[in-house]
Amino acid sequence: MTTDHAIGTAPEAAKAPANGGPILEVKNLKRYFDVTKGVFAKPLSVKAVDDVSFSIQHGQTLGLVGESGCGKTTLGRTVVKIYEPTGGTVHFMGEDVTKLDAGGLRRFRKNMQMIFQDPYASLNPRMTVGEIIREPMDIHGLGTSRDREERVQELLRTVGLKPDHIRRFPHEFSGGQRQRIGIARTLALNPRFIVCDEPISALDVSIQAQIINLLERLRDELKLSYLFIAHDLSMVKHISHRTSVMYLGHIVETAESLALYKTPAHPYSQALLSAVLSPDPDKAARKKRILLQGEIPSPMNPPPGCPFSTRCPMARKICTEAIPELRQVGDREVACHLV
Amino acid sequence: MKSGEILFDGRNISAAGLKTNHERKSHERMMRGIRAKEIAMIFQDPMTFLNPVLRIDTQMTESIMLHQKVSRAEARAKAVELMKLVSIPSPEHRLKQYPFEFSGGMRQRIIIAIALSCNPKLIIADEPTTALDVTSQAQILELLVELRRKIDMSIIMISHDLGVVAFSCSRVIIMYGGKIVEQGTNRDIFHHPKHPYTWGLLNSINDPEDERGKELIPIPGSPPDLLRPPEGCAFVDRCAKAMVVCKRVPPPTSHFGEKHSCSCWLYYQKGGEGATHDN
Repeated sequence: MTTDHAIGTAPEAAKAPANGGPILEVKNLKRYFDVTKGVFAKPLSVKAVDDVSFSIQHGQTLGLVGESGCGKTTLGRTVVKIYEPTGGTVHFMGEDVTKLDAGGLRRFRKNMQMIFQDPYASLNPRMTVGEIIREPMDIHGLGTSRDREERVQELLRTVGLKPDHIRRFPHEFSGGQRQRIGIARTLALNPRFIVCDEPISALDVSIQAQIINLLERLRDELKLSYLFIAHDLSMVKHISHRTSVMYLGHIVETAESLALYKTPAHPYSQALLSAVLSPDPDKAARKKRILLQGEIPSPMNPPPGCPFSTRCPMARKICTEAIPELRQVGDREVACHLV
Repeated sequence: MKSGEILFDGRNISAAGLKTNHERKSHERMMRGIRAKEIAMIFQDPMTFLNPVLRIDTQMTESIMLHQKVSRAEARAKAVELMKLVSIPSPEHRLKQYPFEFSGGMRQRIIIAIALSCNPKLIIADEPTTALDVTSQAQILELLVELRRKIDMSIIMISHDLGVVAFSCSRVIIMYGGKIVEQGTNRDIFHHPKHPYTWGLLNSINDPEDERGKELIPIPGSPPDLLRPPEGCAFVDRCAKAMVVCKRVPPPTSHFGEKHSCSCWLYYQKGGEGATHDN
């Protein structure tokens, strides 16, 4: 494809790859939701994301894995400022986005986009494919209407659809094709960074690989960086350079993907990865699984100390007393008292 | 059902070819005795299967009382026993709760307990772990495999997750466009796949056990429109090995050994691997 950045290439986007630092740096990010049960009840808060730090380098993908309810989607949405953070900072291309005003936010959104999980719910059924892909450019007022028309055609080709699909409606497409339309819309503003929130989990197995390959190709050709949120651990390993494991609002381990999958250090990472099934009957039969006891505690009432202490097979006294910090241990960051 | 036979335990339970109302009624009566009692089903979504406004004990004792003609007290005792069997802690207490008080994995255990309540000979599990997280998925599959050994029943596991299949099944049938394209033992399918669709499936997924991620080779295109089924092989438009004949004539089935067979023109008259054919 042609990497024509004529429209939508803001000056700050052009200089970005030069400065070597991470494209995104998240420090001590918190997002709490207030829940009040009844008028006289004490206000409670759900600590969906609690004190999370990570960074992503230019052109790299950070995978984010964890069970449902661990806060990974909330984290993704807080990073793109769909949710206002309760605390902490998000530095994107050197700028603290938590302090942006409306104009700054608009500039920021152009560079950071999101791909959603459900390709059926994330496209307006009453708009044509052309209108859907053009809308971000209309909102940001990029180029003339002729330019936009051309850009839509180009984007359709980029994601592997035909230019004559432009006048059709979303319902005429299969799930995989719809996800391609969503990706074309995401690319319309030439973003530098994309949060992919479970982009393949609603798709057929035979289609998932198509979308993964497309995302990888786009990353390399357009020099994109991704935060890739998913619960399919083998696909995350495939697409991510580094992977973070989340549990109950905390990141418990971040490491190079290959190293993490080979020798997980945190007891929760070990249990989670041991549960992944290999599509090979012999390996599946040989594998030792660590079966966790009990259930994930409620984020409204998290245990004192380590969030995983209630289910951890190795928990000791200190684990129930102090929250372990995410610290550098060898080649990775781990939050565990015992590592 | 349009045609064909379903032999269950040696008897034909298919409704095809029933002409009179009387025949249909007596067939339905027979099926009522088989459903849930001899063939039970586990569904994909544990959130929607259970009635949200009834306590778990009401939902569990219902089919026990209906099929086994026992009193409520006896049915309750049996329910407690079943909950122990599927490893739900403190069953007496849990029986009094409502479905929303259970996690996804626990709800799926309850559904399995309900399915087991009449000692079925066969359980049809329709994507039983798709809605669950990996850790609960592993627990539920271990439970099903262990129960199958313990109480001597058979399981039909319907799944799109090849990891689930590799872990829990002894024989595998691969379907595409409404037809069986390949079947064989677990090892036949995963180690010696024959059909281009099976190759495609295996190439488009990643083995998490591998050191280095391989390149994913997706299957191009999308599944066929079954309102206008293709004349020949259903997979022809997405198949890298497609020939002229594939478009026009449905492929014959070739056999490789006792259990392994594949419906694809690639193996027609290729005697080399000991294949025999039938149409």
